[in-house]
Amino acid sequence: MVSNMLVIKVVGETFLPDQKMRSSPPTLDRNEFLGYLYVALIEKLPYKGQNAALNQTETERTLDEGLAIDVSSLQIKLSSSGAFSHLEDKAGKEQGKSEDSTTEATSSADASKEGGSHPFEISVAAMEEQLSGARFDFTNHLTFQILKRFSQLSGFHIPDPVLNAVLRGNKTVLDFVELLTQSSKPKPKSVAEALIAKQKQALGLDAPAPTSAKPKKAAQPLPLGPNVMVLSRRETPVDKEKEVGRWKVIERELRARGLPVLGHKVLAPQGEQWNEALKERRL
Amino acid sequence: MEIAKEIEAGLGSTNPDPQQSSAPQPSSTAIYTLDSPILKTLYSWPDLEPTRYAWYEQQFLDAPMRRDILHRAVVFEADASRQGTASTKWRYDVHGSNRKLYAQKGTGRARVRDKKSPIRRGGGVAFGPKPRDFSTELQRKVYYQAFKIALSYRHRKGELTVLDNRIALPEDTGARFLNNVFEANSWGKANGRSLLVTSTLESQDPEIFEEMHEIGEHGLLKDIEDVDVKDLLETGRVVIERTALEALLGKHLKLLSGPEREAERRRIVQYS
Repeated sequence: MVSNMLVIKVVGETFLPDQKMRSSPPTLDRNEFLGYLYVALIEKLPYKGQNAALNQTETERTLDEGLAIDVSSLQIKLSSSGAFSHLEDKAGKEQGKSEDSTTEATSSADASKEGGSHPFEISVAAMEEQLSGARFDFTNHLTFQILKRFSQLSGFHIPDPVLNAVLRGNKTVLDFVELLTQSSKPKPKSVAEALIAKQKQALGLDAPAPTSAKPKKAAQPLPLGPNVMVLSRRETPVDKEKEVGRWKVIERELRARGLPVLGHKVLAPQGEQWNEALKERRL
Repeated sequence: MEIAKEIEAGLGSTNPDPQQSSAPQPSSTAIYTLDSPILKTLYSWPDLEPTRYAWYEQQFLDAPMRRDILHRAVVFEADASRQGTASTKWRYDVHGSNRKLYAQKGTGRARVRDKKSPIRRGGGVAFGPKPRDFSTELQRKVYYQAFKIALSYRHRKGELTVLDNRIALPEDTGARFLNNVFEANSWGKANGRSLLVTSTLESQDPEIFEEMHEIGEHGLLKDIEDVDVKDLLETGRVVIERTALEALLGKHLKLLSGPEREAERRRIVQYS
């Protein structure tokens, strides 16, 4: 993770087709998706706590300008099955660690929430911690509202295959974000691009850190069939020599004999001078 | 004794197995529920705002891929759509006399019959095309299944958008409005065109079909009577009204009757 802190700006209220978010497909990374999901959760989950301002807003609150909500004081609570349940004050939760049902927990901690921080900051790790193990309960209408708000914020329609992968695989919310990130990546436009990407992936060239102690020539997965490689340019005799490790020797020997290594230059004189000489001769 | 031990050991070895296999199932909730219905997001037209979820029975919207059935369906449609109007005149259709051109023998020339012979200028065409029907047959159940397979394929690829309401033009709008919708959603030519499917028949509301025809390079609008399997597979994505989707998935209902039919119809989709 490159940036640990994420600044979330809340924009976009409507689903107008002519908005900029729709005209150009957004490319978001995982943390942005996570952030938008977190905001959607904060906005849509019912609040069960002592903060009067929040209680008034019910589920109609938005983290837009004007509403002062100290997000860092809120805690997303899950039900026993892992579905999202409600919001709570963090302070309340800490107090209630000893005894489970303490909705009567102190509310004095909320007094310091004046001056709503917008855009607010929350660390990715904190979001992950709160969302870990959480699952969507698709039978609940609240889930629809959360995901609708999420796609509104991120400007990204959640593809139905992703929803079904989550539903049928019983995946967690973090898996969902992962799937969404993958599906939001731009797809290769040409067959060649797709093949090269596939090959790279299969040969492990894409991998960020190659794992050590791997047998080098152990049956590598051949994505395009045995003996088939996709190359970005024409394979030259030099490439073939390089592949068998003979090129360095050839190059050294050519140089030793004073011969051109990669072909010779064009022997005829080039450029303006030569043209002018020709013109003069014509005249 | 040894046998008894083995049996005991066997029992011992088999006993923990069901426990192990049964124990994690409730705790680890990673059960792959293939039987669960397919979840689709319904969108509003023309804003494409999510409105609610719909649950389609997996048999209808997650039908396994059958290229052979799709191929048969597409060939069936292509055969049926051939005009078969090519027509020529054979030697007996050509207008003219049946008189023998010259005597059979004695001229030194090749023997002939009449001047309508295919080897003569102005003669008939030798076994040329006549109007005929090229249409082939396909079992209805197979053809109806092809619709489910095509739509399921589109769904799995994420290329099936279901609309909650009717595709319609707002007052005083036309092709330009449709063009804007296509542009805003990246549905146009640059993104492989789109097929819109409506359950409003073309005869009921020809206007929107005409307007859509004007931006034909970006996509096409078909009603449920007109749309076929090839259309569903052709363009970059399919945008379909939920009533139209129900109609296409429920084409086989024609084969049923009475309460059976009603029960099957209700099985296709549940709206939340």
